[in-house]
Amino acid sequence: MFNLKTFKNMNNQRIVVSVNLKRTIKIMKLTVLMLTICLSQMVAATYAQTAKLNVSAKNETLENVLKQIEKQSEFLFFYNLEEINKNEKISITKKNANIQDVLDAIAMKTGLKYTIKDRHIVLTNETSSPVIASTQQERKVTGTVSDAFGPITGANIIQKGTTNGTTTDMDGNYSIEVPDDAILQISFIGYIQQDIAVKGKNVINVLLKEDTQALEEVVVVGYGTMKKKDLTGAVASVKMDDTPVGTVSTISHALAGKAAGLQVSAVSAQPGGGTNFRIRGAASVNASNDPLIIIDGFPVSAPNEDKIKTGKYSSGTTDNILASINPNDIESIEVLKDASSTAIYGARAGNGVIIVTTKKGKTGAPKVTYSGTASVQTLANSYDMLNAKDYMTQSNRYQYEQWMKDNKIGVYGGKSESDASSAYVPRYTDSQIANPANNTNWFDEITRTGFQTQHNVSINGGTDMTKYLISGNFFKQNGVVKNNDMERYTGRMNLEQVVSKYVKVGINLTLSRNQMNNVPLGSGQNENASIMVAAAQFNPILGIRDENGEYILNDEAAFLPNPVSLLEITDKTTKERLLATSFIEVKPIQELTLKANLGIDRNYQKHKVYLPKTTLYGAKKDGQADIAQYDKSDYLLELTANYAKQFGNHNLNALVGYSFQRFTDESLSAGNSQFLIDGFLYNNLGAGAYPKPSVGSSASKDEMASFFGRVNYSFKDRYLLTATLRADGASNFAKNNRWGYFPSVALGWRFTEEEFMRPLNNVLSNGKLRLSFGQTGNSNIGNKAISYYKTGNNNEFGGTESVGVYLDQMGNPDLKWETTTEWNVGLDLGFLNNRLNVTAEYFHKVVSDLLSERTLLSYNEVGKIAANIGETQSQGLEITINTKNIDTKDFSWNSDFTFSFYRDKWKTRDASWKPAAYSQYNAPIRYYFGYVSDGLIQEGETVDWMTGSVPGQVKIKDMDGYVYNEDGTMKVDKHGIPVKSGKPDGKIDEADMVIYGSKDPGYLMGLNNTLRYKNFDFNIYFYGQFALWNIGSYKDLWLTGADGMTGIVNMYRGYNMPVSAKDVWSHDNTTATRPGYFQDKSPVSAGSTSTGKIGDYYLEKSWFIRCRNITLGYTIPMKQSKKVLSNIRVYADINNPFTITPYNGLDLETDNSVWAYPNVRSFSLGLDITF
Amino acid sequence: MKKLLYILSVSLATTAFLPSCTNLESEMYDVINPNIFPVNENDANALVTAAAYAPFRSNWYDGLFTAANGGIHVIAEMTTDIGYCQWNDVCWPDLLDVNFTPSSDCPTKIYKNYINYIGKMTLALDRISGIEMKEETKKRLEAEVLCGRGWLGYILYDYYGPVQISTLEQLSNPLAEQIIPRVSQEEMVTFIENDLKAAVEVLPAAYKSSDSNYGRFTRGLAYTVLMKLYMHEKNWAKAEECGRELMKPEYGYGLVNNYKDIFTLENEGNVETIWAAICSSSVNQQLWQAHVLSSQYPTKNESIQKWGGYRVLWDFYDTFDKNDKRLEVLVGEFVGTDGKLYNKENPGTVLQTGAMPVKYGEDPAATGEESQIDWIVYRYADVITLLSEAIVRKGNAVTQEAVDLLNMVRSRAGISTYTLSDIKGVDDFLEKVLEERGHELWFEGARRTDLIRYGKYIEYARKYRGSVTAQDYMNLMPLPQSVINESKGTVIQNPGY
Repeated sequence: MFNLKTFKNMNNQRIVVSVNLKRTIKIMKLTVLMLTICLSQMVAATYAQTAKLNVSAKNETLENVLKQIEKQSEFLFFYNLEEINKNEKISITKKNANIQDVLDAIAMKTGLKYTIKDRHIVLTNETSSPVIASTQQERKVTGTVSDAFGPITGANIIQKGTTNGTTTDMDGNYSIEVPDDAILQISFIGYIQQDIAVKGKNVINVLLKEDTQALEEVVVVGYGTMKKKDLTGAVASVKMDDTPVGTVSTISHALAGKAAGLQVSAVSAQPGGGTNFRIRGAASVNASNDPLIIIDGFPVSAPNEDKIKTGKYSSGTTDNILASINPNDIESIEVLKDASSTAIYGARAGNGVIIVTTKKGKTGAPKVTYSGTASVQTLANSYDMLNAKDYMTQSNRYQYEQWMKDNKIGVYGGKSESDASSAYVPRYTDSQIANPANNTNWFDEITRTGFQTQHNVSINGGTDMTKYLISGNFFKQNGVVKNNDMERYTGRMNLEQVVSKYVKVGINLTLSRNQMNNVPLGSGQNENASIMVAAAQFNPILGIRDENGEYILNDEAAFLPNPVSLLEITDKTTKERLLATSFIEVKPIQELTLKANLGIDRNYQKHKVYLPKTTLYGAKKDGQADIAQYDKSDYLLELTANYAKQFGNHNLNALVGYSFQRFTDESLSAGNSQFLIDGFLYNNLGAGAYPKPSVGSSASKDEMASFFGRVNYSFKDRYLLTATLRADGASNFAKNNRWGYFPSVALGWRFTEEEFMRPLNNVLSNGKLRLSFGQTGNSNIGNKAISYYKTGNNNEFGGTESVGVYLDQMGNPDLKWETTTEWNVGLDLGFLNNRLNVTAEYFHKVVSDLLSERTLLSYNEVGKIAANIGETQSQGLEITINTKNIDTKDFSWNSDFTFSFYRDKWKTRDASWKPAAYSQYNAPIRYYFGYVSDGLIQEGETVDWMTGSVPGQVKIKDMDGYVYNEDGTMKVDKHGIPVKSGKPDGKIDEADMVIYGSKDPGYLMGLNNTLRYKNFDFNIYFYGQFALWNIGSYKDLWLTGADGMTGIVNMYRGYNMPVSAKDVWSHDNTTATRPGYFQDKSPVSAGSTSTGKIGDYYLEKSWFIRCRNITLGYTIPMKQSKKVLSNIRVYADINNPFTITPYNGLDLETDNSVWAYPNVRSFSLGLDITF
Repeated sequence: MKKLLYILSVSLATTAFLPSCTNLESEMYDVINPNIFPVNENDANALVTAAAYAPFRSNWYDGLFTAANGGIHVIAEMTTDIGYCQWNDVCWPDLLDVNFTPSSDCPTKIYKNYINYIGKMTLALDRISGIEMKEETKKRLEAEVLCGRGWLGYILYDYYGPVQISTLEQLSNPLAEQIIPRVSQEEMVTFIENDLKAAVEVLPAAYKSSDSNYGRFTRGLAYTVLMKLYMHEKNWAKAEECGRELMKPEYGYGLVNNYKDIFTLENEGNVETIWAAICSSSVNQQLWQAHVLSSQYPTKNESIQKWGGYRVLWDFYDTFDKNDKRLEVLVGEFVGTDGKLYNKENPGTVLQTGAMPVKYGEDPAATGEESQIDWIVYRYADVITLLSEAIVRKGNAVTQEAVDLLNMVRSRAGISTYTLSDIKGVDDFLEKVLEERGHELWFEGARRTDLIRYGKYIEYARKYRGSVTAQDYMNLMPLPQSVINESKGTVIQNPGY
């Protein structure tokens, strides 16, 4: 058998990028011991005679000599490693010689024989069987090798048991002379090898089947890669080639639903909006639940956005961790889920690990690709507010109802209208209503059609010695809210250089710059109203500007800024990132790889805001300028040694390593006001005349060191074992608790390899059972082991400011690692030659020594202290199904389906737990809680336990009461939970509150379909969240005044309301289901409930299925001979075309703040060109 | 080649065994390490500033005297016959309707936010005790902390009855989670009394506004709080003693000629002020006018924020004599910036529930909601009217002195003074004192305590607020349910709740 390294002919590019990719990966990981050449089909038949060679070698290995020849010619050597010692040293000097001369000289020195066939040279030794048995009759066999898509170039045709072989040409044709009884072996990387007996045939055409056994697929694991078939842990791999990334601003947005067990939730729909990643739920209660993200070996952490919060408004939530990465640069994303996979990352891996791998250079001629998209964006859904006429009508209705209530008329007290102390005066006359002075839709005034474009160029290529990838990306988005823009520039260089036989060095370098023009966001009210809040509340009968060009204000609430005026604010964020890792790899012996990795992740962020005098607040301050900047640098040193060896049926791979990380940051901020002119913006802070301009700064440093090791062992390719151990030390714990130890072990059994399963292999082509156990940690709580004082609470004495100092943090020296102990059972099944692949995982984990803040008793100096406060447990199930529904030459259809659910709850509470009456010992970790509602109070109905209530208010159930001991103390159970009497007590208090349910979605699903017909490709991708508790949309809550919202009663001062205001309960609409105008006056105390005075009135289990994108592409067939362009693909994409949901708000996924940024729908055209 | 390999291997090996590899460090450069603090007089000063003075501020939304809904003056007044708020934030209805429950926000939040300051002050005393510094200064600082602790004790006692008093030992070991029950009433009063009396021994009578210590606690303040404690305890004799003490010339207290001048920037540090929460442009600003003024109300400084929240109920407004000069800053009628006349008859949305309690002067430098005018906490008019009441209650007879004291504020207000013959007995006099104190001290936090002392708090809530939920037990506000919960039931809720 030959060991061949083959390169895909560049001209034979397929539309099926995924296939190419898979092949490429396989190529890379093949045991390559041989010679490398680019095949060229342009060789003249006489090449062997005409090519002139210069060979000079002094005591060099045979291999090197052959390489010399290959480098200056197009000859390709084939030999059998078992026959030929390629390390045999020879000396030879030939100048301007033809190949025959050179080969003769080599044969003389080594005793080898050679055969020249075209430009292929086969070397054999004397003992091997003759290449051509002269006694047998030779026969010339010709044919074509093809696959489902057409001819295959470079496929190998070998006479079995010999070194006689050839490869197919550009059109897939071959020709070989073999004996009659020969068997041809036809192989090509990525395809199933076929053996065909010649049996006297002259023409043998071969259709190769793709090796769908994705088992050879390589996945990235911690500190290395593994064959998928050898995996024992739960790893989901997302190859980015089938994800349209041209239309997303950050890769985070493309990941939702892609991997079972990875929950991706968009936090904000603004340009570059932030995303929450959760792997297998969120079982940590307070320490961050964010997974560890590793980009090209560097564990990155998000810069603290709070540090650049400045000015009056929020800039929303933007993606901070992956935003600097060009989505086009990403090769794959691996999600490490179970403890066996993540334990190698120890202390930071308690919430799972996401490994992002960028594309690397590939040997071969430079390949230039360009991809570009242009999109328009529209609001997917907008706030549905009252228009001017409806607003006036509804205001009058409100006014009338208020008048009735004040005078206790009708349903509000039984009096008649004539008893009223004063007459009802409508706020707006009929003629005003009929002819509104203005009818301003404030959301229309602040929104626009968005535009987005992205251009990406990458060049990759290389030789055996040097491989490179260079890419540049420009992204620009004009958001759907006016003035909300984002621009990103990224550059990347990935370089690998072989220095010598033993040494390889490389760097991965990313530079990025994100610039954002922000609009004022956030949930502030009144003078702090953001653009969304102001647009929602601003009166539709008002115009934008008066005759003097000044922004019009609402006289009755002159503190509420005109929404359009807020567009005058200049608010810019710049984020720059340098992420560089460099490595040096030394292979002193074949089996051992030593690697040193050095890296830096430097984030620089700056936020600049100027509120001009044309805005309400800016006018008061005479212009207000603020700047905040933040510098964060993380450093990494990592040393690993990897030993891999195969002994017969035993395969061993061992890794040990050390890593050291340092995290430093510093921030600086300044602000001033009272500027002469607006023109300075924030660029001349000194020009402000404010007596006490603001300044601030901070700095910190932390360190972490780790030792780790891993052993992978497999026997007969079917019994697999992985064991890891990591020790982590983090400087933020006290010395005695600094080190945590995180072991894991996993077993795998590829039962389809067993003899007794063989008969089933036609159906069950692959089967593996995995079991893993491990521990990981979490130290993400900050510097909480030490106590410190802070300055503040200043006061003035005698006209001089006196600085105060107070204990800000009480340290807990006993603080230690949070530990996650996880069991995982996984089953991988492949059916019908792996056309159907199913992976199922069940996990059960317990998070102990939960790192959180423990509430101290109220009398203490500080309210909270960081502590390890108990245990939670989490379990879940994940299923991934990949199918090839149809797979023919012209038409294929692949589907990927993911499903997961998880349940998190408390397992053990610390003795310091301070429960309330509604608390549950084993409650979900994040929950909604509140009262239980019982419809609306109707006319004439008196609710004894809600003294003072009026009809139209939500009736809250009196469920329970407290129980008291004889001494007057309240009775509690063994956990300290107040004991409840089990019967109503005539009062509404905490005893009447219940936990509704978890805030986490019940089920997550994703479904991706890729279809291909000839040159057309089509992708449609859905994901969804199900059984998701929802406490009400803006249509509900803006009226009832819960959850930081204002309530319909604000119509008294000219606030606008959603159209749902038409449906509220009133004296003449007593069948209405929406609570009435006086819901906010309900005598029930809202307490700290999730839902306030309305209780569970609007609570429902909801769900959504979002169609994330529909993409249609066409690859333009190119004539291979005109080699200028090798591939052009055009495509059209609709991002977020529709969402199926019963939810009546804007978007169940992004409505997580009550003044959420509206979600967008993008229509894009894109172009991919490969040169 | 081999050489390169050798170099690489050696460098790899040495890096791996650098001493730094397990010697880890954290640094926070912007906070103070307790190992180096406190050591000197400045440190002691800083500790006292933050521990003893922080609660008694009116700094935006912070401090017991904030003009927002976390301030005791505002919370108390909104439950009496005086105050109203036009807003509908969830915190207001429970107050306005006198519908207190352990889940109510405002009625419970003074306990929630300030109970820990008792402990902070105890710890501050401990922390400064070991500092080497001038003995005299140390004594004064300690007396200031004691004054603050006693005063806070009184404020909590007035709202909630006896509270939890933490000891130094309990405070030093917070992880032990030692549950402290409420002290008895006697212990509570003794605690307050002892702290204030200790402060009285050391603190100077008063600081002039030019003094570099102006704004610190004084003997005058300590006696005022003591007087209020004794009034609360109906110990009229001791209250009278305190009142007479404060009339001594060493304190220098008197009445400002014009009522409205008490609350202006120009007259900060006036003779009437016993203690004010200092506000300035550099530190601590109060938000009164922003909470009160409506958008239509004209101000010279147009930048002043006007949210239009607080009102004085019309019924109460109507009890004033029309010529009462105090109405100059309690606005029942004005011409708005829109040219409209607003009053009780034409309220618009501005004066629907009552008059606008402007009270404070304008801060010409205000650029929004903030004002640098000192927030008046206690003043001489409060003391002399209380003294008048105490004298009459103690002797159960109306005296000329008592009438004269009451007349001091009436004549300043430009209304008729009483003669002894105008008074129809003790009850009538006490009624007059109550009304006068209402007219004089509206929104200064006196009304609730006065009404409770007169036994009229709940009655008035029903009568003037139309409360259907007010109950007799609501003379005391409820402790937060969380405090009961965290004590596993050991802390006993006020009866009725």
